[in-house]
Amino acid sequence: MPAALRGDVDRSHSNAQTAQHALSQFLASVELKAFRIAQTALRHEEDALDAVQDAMLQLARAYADRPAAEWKPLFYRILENRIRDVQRRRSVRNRVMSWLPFHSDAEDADDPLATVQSPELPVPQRIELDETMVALQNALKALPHRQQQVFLLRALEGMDVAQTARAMGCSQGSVKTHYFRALRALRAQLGDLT
Amino acid sequence: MNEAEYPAAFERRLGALLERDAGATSGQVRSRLTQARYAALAEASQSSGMWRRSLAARRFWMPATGALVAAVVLVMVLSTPRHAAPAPSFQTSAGALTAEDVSLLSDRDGLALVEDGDGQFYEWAAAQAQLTPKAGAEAGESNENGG
Repeated sequence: MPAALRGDVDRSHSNAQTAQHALSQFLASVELKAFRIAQTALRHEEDALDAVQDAMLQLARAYADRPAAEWKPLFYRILENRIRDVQRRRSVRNRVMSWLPFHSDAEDADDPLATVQSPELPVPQRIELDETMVALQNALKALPHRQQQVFLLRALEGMDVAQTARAMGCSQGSVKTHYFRALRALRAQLGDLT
Repeated sequence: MNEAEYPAAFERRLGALLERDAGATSGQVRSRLTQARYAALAEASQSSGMWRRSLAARRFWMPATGALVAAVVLVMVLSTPRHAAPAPSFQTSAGALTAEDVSLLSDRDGLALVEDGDGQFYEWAAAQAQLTPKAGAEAGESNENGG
């Protein structure tokens, strides 16, 4: 290979390392919040971890060469799609299971998905949190999915309306509406949190 | 809709609670997330390496391949003999018509005999051929005399 081409490759190799470092920092900065968002939506730790891992892999595989400023909306868009996929699979599974003749309540008791409505939180660290935190979690779980996701992307992840709209695949007006309704519902349930 | 009617303090408190909640994630989950991040970075590194190699290969091989293709096309164009325009031919579903077929089709009398299709003409012609030359000759003479 000619030396000029080798030089190009070396330069692109250096750029790739820089991009790799930036991507690592980005993923480290979003992973905990992304996990919390996925867990709130899916109410299942393993499913939430799988969804976050899939979103990370997909972002790295397909969008690592995009500008870093685009990563956050893209990442949460992918995560949102994964969450939807899991919810759809659960819905189908539950429908099929309810039709099966050998389906019984005893199986429901063993199925972790059947216990997701429980107000008790599975992670031990949650026990240390005060009643307000538990109440907030329950109030978030009671929100419709779009309101819940829009609220978490804005309040937890700190995304603005435009970024949230890109991540959710909807209009900015829709984001504002969902966010407003989520705030109103949370305030109705939690009070002013004073 | 007016977001301003909800105090910003309420949103800030919610945000702080959520941050605190995220910070309380267990070590086991953090470890899983770290593993997932490393897997994603390995994936990005792999696809980036493949992209770099393919870019270098493209830069090296594309001009050479283009020149080769151009040369082949040039040779093919120059080596193709220039033929005179072929004579037009009639095409049917059965293939090209010969000159004999064309003359047969243009002969209305012959075509009428063929189209009769009852074979009477051919039976008559065969019977005539079986006659002796003498009888044939006599018949010819009598015809000539009688006619």
